[in-house]
Amino acid sequence: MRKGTIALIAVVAIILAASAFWLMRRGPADTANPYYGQKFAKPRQAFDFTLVDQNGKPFSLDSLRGKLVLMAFGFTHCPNICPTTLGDLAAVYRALPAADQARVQVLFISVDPERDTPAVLKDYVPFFDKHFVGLTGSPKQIAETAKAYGAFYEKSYQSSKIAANYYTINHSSYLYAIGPKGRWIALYNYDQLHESARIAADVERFLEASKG
Amino acid sequence: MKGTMKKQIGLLLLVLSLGGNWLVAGGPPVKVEDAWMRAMPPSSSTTAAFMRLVNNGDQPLRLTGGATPVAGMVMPMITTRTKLNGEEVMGMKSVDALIIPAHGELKLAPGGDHLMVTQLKEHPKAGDKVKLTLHFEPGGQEITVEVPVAMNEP
Repeated sequence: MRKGTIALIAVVAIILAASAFWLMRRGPADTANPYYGQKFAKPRQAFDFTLVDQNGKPFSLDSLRGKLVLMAFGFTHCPNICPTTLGDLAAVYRALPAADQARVQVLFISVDPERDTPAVLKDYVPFFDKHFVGLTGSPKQIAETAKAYGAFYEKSYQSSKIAANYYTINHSSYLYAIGPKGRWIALYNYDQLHESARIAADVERFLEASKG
Repeated sequence: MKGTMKKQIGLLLLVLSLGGNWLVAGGPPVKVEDAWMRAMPPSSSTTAAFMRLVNNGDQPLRLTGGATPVAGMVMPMITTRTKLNGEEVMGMKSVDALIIPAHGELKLAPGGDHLMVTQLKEHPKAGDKVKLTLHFEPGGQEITVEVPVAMNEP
């Protein structure tokens, strides 16, 4: 009985601490008007990175003002998480009316700049939808960008049976929504991504709101 | 030395007895359902296969890997999820085997446990079918299935 009570208190304390930490990092969510994603009540300016696109050209986030940006981090040697994310994003994109598609840009930022050259990304990212753009950069550019969005990544060396020094990358697998004015407006966690129709509904609302 | 030998004989007897049962039944007591493999672009070295494995037997089974004509290697993988500074970080790890409990099932799904299909020799397109042989222990049993290739979960 007493053990149970102590355990319960401990669990509650941990949950409270974790929630407080989350709120401090993200700012409070907009609870008045629920979106499917975690929409920030006071979105802050998104970090305007400059990276290298799949054609080998410099690419800045601020070139996408006026569009809603859906952005994910990943790597092309990823057999499961990243293709699932891109497949889900393709479903979101196709669920949008054509007029809204023209106002949305999906970006896939590699956290494996060693292996993900522009040429590799050009083959990989548009495979999921021809409108999607893959970005890479110097390890420093990638690190800065990931840090600005609170994204984490690290190499994970796998069985040498696969190949010598074969690694995959453990990484944050969130979807970041950046509004037409360059504000980071919402965040989706990996488990939410399969609900493509609900994300598409959020996207339409974000676009509608930005017109006013 | 003596102990090891005893263990080996014991294991051999166990394998033979289980194998015998399965031979009578015509293969491991596993049903493969809703299997599919993700279509990947030509630059990709790797894809994954997903399915539900239903074990109708009285013994747990271990899915240790497999083989396919389209790739050099098929490996069981788990998906890892850890919290770092409040952020969820996902990754994967190769394992010796994935367990299918007795009278239970194992779900291989996007974002979860899966069979990594790597060293791709060809890149089958959505709509193609690919032969996939699954390896099970104990008993060194195999099942070969025809797996449809798709862009997203069918």
